[in-house]
Amino acid sequence: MLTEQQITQFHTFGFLILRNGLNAKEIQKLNVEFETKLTRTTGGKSKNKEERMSWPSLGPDTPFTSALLESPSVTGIVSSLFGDDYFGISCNASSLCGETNWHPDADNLHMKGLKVLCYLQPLNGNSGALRVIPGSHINALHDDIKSVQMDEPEHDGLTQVALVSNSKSGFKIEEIPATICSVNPGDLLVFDFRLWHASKGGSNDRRMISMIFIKNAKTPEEEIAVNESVLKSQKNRAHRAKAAFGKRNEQVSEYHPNWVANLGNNPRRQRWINWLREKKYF
Amino acid sequence: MVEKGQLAHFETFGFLVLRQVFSPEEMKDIIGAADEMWETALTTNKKSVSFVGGEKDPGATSFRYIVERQPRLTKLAEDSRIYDVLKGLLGSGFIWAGSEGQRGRVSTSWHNDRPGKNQNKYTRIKVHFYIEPTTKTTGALRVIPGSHRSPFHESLEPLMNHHIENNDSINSDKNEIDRVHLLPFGEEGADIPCFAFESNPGDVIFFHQNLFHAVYGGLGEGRRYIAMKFAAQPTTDEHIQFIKAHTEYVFHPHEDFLNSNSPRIRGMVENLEALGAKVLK
Repeated sequence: MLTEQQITQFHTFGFLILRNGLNAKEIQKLNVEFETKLTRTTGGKSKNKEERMSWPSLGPDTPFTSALLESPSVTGIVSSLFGDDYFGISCNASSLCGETNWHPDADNLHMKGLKVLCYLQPLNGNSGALRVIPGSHINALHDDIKSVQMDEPEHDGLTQVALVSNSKSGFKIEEIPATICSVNPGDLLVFDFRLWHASKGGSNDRRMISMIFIKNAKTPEEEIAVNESVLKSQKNRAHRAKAAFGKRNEQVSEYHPNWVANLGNNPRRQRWINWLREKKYF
Repeated sequence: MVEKGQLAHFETFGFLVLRQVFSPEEMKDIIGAADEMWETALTTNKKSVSFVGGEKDPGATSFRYIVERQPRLTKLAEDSRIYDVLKGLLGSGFIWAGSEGQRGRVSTSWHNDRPGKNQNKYTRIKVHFYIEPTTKTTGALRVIPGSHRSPFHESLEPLMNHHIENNDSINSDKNEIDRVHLLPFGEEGADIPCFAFESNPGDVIFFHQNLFHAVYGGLGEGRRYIAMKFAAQPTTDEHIQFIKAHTEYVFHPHEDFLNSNSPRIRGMVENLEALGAKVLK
């Protein structure tokens, strides 16, 4: 559970870093599962080219990572911020490379969702740590940022949730004033979907576990925002999964049948499954 | 001249940084002029100096009118590299709102310079020239981008509790209620999310005085900067009341500025006494 001050910090700045949210043993388990999956995917060769890879981690081959989505270490954070009326949407592992332009994950300010990130390597401003613009999850700042001319390098287009003024003479990623979220393995970084964020620098194999949660919509405006976000994220994840695994005949379904079967009859998971089915995730 | 992108940056984030506006040779002259003024002030004109560091930093001084009193520094106020930028950010008819030279101050907790309802609707800008290189942990100005605008601005006002109580280090004996009061986000001031304006001599920052800013970790006696303050042309009674509330001295400009041969300098002050008279009514 979060303290009252941490909750205020999240709602004010749009993000929160929880130091040592996971312990060394838990990080070790995540690393083993990550390495196994990556090695199998790359056929035993080390990943040395600039390729972003991302895969769902809700299957039996990554049991510890899969369980993280429902572990008290994570759900306690989400419950503190959203109450109990929320849905766990995904638990993905990614091997990141290159830089990511400034973007929010949601441009509709009625959207109530968050990501919980756990990086498996130490990261700072020079090595690909997440950069965030504090307070940019709310207006006026959220929309004003679109008027700042930015020099956006070529990218896959998947992060273009909100259009910015793109100009070769604009500000580079590192020139936009931001907080650099330096982290160590075990730290949990929680951020609002609407927060502007980016990254710069780092290796071609920055390892990250990301979990997504969405608060149940309470108003028609929130419902519209959720549906927009669902559509966008479905497209993005399908695209990335296909890009990373399609040629290798790996299963690309986000939700493994075992997870959907919910053999343990977990009522919370069943509620999430029902909602995901209603939203046509599977 | 301010480019469209720079204006958008200022309006969005509440500040604008220009790198290496002044050459090393120019900075040498600026530093020399400032040092002369400081030494004179500390030895012969102590009334012009405020000791601003309290018990924690007794040597920290703030020297008022440093730019007005030293012609070599006055030139900064009319230099096109500063003046034209201000014209772009504040519009024509902007006014002079004072100057100061500070040195030796180690840290300043989170605050904005012009607290109060609707104060952020009236743009006032402070221009800082740092005399030594600064980094985040050695005296750089930290700002919270976008915090000059509502409602983000208001959501940060609890940070002012710490500043008002002039207590930069939280006493561990204080009870939990005090900690919540002084640390509204659960973080020490040094850990509040921000952008640090790391600078070298010659760099200049223009910032909206409603922007939340702070300094943590200084350079001891070596940390020095010169600041000039400006405000948009006051056009309403509310603007005049805002000036009166925070900086009534603006209405009584320094005589060297009133008698200046420079049209730019005179233009920034010549109507202020009349506005001051209006305030006194």
